[in-house]
Amino acid sequence: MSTVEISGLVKNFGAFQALKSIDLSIGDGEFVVMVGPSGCGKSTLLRAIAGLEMPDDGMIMVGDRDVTFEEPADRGVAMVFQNYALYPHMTVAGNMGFGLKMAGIAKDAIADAVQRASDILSIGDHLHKQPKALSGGQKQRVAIGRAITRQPKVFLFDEPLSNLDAALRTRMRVELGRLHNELNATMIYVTHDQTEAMTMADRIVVLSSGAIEQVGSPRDLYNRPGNLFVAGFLGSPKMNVLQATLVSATDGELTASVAGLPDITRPLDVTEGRELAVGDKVLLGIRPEALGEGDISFNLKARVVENLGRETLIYGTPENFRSCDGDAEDGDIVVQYPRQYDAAAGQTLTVGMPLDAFYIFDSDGRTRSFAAAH
Amino acid sequence: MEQRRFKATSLVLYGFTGLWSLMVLIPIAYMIMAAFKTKRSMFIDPIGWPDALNWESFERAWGVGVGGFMINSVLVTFLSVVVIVIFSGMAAYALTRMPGRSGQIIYLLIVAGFAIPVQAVLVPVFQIMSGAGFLNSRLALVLPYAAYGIPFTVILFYAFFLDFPRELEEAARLDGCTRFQTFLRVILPLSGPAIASAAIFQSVFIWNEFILALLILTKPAFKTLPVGILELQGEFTSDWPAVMAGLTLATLPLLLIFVLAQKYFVRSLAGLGK
Ligand SMILES: Nc1ncnc2c1ncn2[C@@H]1O[C@H](COP(=O)(O)OP(=O)(O)OP(=O)(O)O)[C@@H](O)[C@H]1O
Ligand SMILES: [Mg+2]
Repeated sequence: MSTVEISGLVKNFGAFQALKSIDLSIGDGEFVVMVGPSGCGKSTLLRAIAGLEMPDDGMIMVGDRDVTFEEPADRGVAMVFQNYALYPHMTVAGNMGFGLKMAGIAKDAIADAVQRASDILSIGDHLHKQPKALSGGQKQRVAIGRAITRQPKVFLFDEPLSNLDAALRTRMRVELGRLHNELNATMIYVTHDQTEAMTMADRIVVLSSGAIEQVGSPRDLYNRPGNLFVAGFLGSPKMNVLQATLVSATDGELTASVAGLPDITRPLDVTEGRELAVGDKVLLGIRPEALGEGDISFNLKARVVENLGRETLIYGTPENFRSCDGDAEDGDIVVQYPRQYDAAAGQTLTVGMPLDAFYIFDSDGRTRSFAAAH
Repeated sequence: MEQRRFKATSLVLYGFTGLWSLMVLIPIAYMIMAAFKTKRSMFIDPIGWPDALNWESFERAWGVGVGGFMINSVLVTFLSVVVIVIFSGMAAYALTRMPGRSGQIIYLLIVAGFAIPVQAVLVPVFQIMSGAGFLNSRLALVLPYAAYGIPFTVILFYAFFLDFPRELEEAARLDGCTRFQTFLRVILPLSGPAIASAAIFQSVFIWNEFILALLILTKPAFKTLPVGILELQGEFTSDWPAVMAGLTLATLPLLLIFVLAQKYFVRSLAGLGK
């Protein structure tokens, strides 16, 4: 129930710069999810907000209070750790009430707060158990309960669901969403899981090597990624990327030529960035699910067919063009059909391609044209 | 083939262990047996069985003041172990949590200090204690014993704390604990095995320590068991059964502790408290 304002935050570990001047505003009651490749500084940023890492520069405000140099417990934040970090020598109730006990709250009030939190999470039956007697999902509930009991202004989660199995993860995800609505609390959530990011976030923050790449709503980031990194990071399997050369850049339109395909012409959506000139190397991106039907078709020699029930992923080599970078092997592309699709490895398939589904990235990696909505 | 070689190896190992155990057990068995002999039978037939279960030598040993020595030993051992555990625990925790390499360097110095043999510092320790006017006091034993015990115990705790999950400490900090409260309320309660290992290991050493106690304690009122029992030799030049009875009494408490807490004792030697 509070805003978080981060400005110019820098964190160094020796000579290594883990956070490079982070600026981020988080609204009251907002659910912000931070994603990014491993080692990009998500945990470091979260821990800096929690007060577990001292920043080397910059400022952190919670509400209208500067907490940059405050003790973790005085910041009004609560953190849920990936491996639960429950105190093994205390009961569930003891774990949940420990923060209040340390704050010198009366026993009755602690018992009430614990009861309330355990009702929200339906762990009332386990209050007198030791953590080791709980399942993974129950432990994570207790860890979340411990955070709730303290009634923090801001909840911090560091990959809280990654130790749970897929089914439980889905359930807890829904439950966390409900919790967010119920408590109407500000939550900052770090995850590796794209589904979690896309479904839970009001806004997603994409980090890469200690810097923010882009901030926006899940759909915005997915449909209008600011650069090649964000475009590649969101979406699984990854966007297919092709090398191309600019053959015309006039009147707010870009035309790129790719070996083996007709020229692609897209409106110039982003004017800032480097000057574009004919002959520039650019990259074209097309999402796997955009392929399938469309203006033209090409032949694809399937290498691997993954039938996932609801959808079918086909990794294969196109007959007359090559991709660069991506989830598939060198030169291969991925096609995603939103249905079951009868195909076998080794077979040659005809795949449709809409010509307006391409993104165009300049040689700095900045997105200059977005794909048309389908 | 593999199977047979494995059997041969374990045969040799068992044989060796058995032989070793025998070597250790024979003197203990003899001590207990001889304690029940009479003075006469000790002279006539020193290695024969006692004629009857004869408790008189225990009475004679007790009469010299074994009870008092035992109380002294218990006090000195208990106090020393408490000092050792508290100081080593806090020192090791601080060393593992120091930023940079400073903790590691101090740790190495402590490990190096561990290599100094007790006998080498005997005379200086005696002089210090004598200069401080501590001779014939329990403090004069507790302080050096603690000093002897702390390096090894720091090493033991250091390994334990190094692996202690950081998230628990961070959770405690978020819950409002200061460093010291974290140590007291989260780390200590979870260090039971390490503390038990350290305490038992040090108890055995201190309970048995002889040379320093011999130097520092001259008045019978302060003597610990190992030096106290020596008194039996002085007063009854030939009363070996009483000496054996006194030794049996001295060994008993340790034997008891060892049997009850063997697990921790072995851990302290093998796994550094884990
Ligand atoms: N205490 C530390 N000392 C030195 N380097 C550190 C420390 N903590 C983190 N780092 C480095 O800072 C970078 C960011 O780490 P961080 O844990 O924030 O990554 P992350 O984005 O959370 O990764 P993951 O997704 O794997 O959890 C990493 O390169 C890491 O090696
Ligand atoms: Mg992390």
